[in-house]
Amino acid sequence: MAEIFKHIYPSKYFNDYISRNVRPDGRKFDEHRDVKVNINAITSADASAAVKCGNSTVVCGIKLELAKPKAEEPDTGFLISNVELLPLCSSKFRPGPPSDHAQVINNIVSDIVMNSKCIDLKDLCLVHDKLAWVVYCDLVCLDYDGSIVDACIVAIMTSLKTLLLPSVSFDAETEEVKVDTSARLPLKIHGLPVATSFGIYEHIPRNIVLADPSAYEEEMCGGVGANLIVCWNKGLFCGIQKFGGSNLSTEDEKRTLVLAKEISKLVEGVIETCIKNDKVK
Amino acid sequence: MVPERLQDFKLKPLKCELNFLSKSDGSAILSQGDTVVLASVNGPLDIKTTSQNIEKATLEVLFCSKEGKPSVADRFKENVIRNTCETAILGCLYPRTGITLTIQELENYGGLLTCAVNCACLALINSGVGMRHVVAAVSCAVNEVGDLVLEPTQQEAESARALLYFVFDSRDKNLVTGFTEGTFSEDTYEEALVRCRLASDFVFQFYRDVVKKYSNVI
Amino acid sequence: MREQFLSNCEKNFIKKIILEGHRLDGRNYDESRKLDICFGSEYGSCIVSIGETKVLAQVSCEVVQPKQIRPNEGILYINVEISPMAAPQFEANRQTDLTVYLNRLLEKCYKDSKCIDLESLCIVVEEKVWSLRVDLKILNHEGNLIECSSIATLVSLAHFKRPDVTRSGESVIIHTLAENDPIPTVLYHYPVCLTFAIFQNNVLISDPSYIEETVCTSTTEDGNTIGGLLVVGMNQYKEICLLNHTEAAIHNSNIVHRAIQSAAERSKSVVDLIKAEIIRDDNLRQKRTKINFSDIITTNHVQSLSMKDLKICLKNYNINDIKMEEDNSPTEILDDKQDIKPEKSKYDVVASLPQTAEIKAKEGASTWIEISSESDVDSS
Repeated sequence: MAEIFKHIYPSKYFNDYISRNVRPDGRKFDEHRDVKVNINAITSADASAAVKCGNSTVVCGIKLELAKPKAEEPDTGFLISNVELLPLCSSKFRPGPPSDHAQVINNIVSDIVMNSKCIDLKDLCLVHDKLAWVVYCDLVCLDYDGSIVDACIVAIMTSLKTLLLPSVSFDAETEEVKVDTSARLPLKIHGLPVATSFGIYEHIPRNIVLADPSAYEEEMCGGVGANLIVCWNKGLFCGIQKFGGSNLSTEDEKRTLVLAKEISKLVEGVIETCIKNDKVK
Repeated sequence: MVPERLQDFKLKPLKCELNFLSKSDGSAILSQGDTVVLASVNGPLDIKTTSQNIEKATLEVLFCSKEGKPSVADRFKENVIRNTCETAILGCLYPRTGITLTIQELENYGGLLTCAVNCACLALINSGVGMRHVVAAVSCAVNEVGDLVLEPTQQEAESARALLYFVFDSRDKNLVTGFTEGTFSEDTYEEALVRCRLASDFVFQFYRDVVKKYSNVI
Repeated sequence: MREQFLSNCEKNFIKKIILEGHRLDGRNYDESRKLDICFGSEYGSCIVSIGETKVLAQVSCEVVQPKQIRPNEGILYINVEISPMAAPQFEANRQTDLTVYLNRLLEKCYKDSKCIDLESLCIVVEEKVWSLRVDLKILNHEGNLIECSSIATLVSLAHFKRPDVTRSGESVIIHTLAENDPIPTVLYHYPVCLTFAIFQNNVLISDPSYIEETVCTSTTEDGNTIGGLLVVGMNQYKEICLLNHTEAAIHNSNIVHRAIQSAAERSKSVVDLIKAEIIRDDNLRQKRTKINFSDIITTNHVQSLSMKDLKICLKNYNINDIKMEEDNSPTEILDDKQDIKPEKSKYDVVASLPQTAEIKAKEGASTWIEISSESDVDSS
């Protein structure tokens, strides 16, 4: 019966739940879904991670390449991320070139990684104006169920943390490059940015803030994707983005920022434990 | 204590002309300092059935940069402007129709996106589309020392530690859209938000002046 | 949105008045709308407007590898974009026939006429050459896009200056604008595309407006096309660089000749204007005057639909005029009370038929322009 009700009156169905202080999947407003992290699942990649936030699943694979740095910035390497939302992950997406939504998510993810300055691109340069690493981070969404940016950031950061760079020797005279894959060194990572998504639902008397919204909740809140994304890194913000949805009052905003801080600490813990666990084995 | 210090701040000079284009239903050209943006609104008009929405008007936003091919950054700007304007427009008044908003960059000397949002809002006012509220975008930079600079110039923006952009509504000055670049502390964020919220009053006052001037023909 | 089709009534009206010697905006057959050029802050950026038709052009450059068949020549690339800003019927990110047609015409006029010295754009043979890219954005489509965008292309190319380059051994240093004075592009000649609308094979109209263009290329009720569009590309030495004709065939060889003669005059004046504007802009820049697109924002022009250069006008919408009226209104009322001279009634009450009376407008009271119909001509 509830399923039929949901289809006939989608907004009334959702509103009924919210007025009883519960969300359709049984969570409280400020409760987020379970997070699972797995590393090195893809053996052909240089580093990889699979992340599950509730039903949202994202796999990240990192591939390394050597290239000549840009003439304008001879001391920096490249970090290129690409988010793919295939028709496989949701019926919303169509095959073909990347949709606008995928491009926007990609932009947010690469902005967060760049803004947090967790990777110094100068570390990726090997020889001035001659040789630098290109780190390709391919993020593929397997199941799209909301808060996709959170899952992407966890996946990309976990992969980068486990990434080991092979040692390279460069002969300045012959310009010969030798790559030694047996001796590998980890990449320097400063801090660990974690993004937290929120949906803002228009409700009387006051707008409701939903932590970690599912795809259905995101749709009900209006707009494409989550409305508010807060990103913490080492006690500093490295990105607060609010798009669409209902307007946010000052008190709600303060409470949300505190909540984001708590969640980010927990997620940080998960990533660290996961990596430690792998090393023990 | 904060508001007292704010009395003497200044925004970049604003200059605007409505009805700049004859073929569009509404158009505006806005300059904020040296940054100039042109926006045009067409609608509500007939669109193809696949993109029609039975509950509200579909808002299509197109951002054209001045040179070169369209890029991912343009898609991001389109997304920001679409989300912002969608909350402002009373889309439920025009079901099964489309409203197209086209924005053309003319000069970019910093603050392009804030100028684009403000210009889009003026074009929407000019077109006569029903709106819940108007929106005002204000940007703010945190310089190397950690001080806040409202409406930074291009040099200030390039050397800044962080850039914060906010869009407020005209009714309760609630945050409609916000996005940031770089890293900053919680206190800085709070202060920037308060300052920009106050500064948004200048933009709203400017809108009123413009509407007053054009009230004979809008 | 689909394109709005013109009704037969509109079509016939436009056709009729044109054949009788009138145009909807009061121009003569060989008269063009006002050409206006304004420059942006960067080199090679300009907005050109013909009447209300507006086109934005921007030239950008980058260093690329030359094509293998022409290893010592630079590359010129022209790209036209028509967004929904131009008119509501255009869709975003969709190439229309019009875009392709415009692009091809401009390529013919500027690439194939060899007006640019492409060899001067070469830095290192077979390795590095400058590639110039002209981006044209149609801002407002009120007819005659071809002429407007061709002038925009020419102005932006003539105005553009590329950064200076020095070679030291193998490496090439590109200087910023502050370090070394930039270098202007070499143009051998200045070709301009001029558009003429031909109605019924005998009337030649220069600079057709949107409605005239549409009528001229549409078909009449009996299935024939009313007329055609003739594009003449000509440089300041009266040399033809391009001829293009669409729609109805011309079976009056005289008309093409007339078009070319008219184009020769106009192209000279357009090129002179372009050169004068560029020199003026250069002088301003040397005096370090700030030039910015914000200069085109005016405050005394309230309605775009009241065309500034329109000859027939009912009321000139000028913001200062409106204010004046408001300011004077209280004093006027006082004046009125002192000597009230009621305006003469425009109407007469006439007893016409038995048992009836009519209110009739006095002769000469209406200010409509009467277009004499054929029957009147016969009777006179």
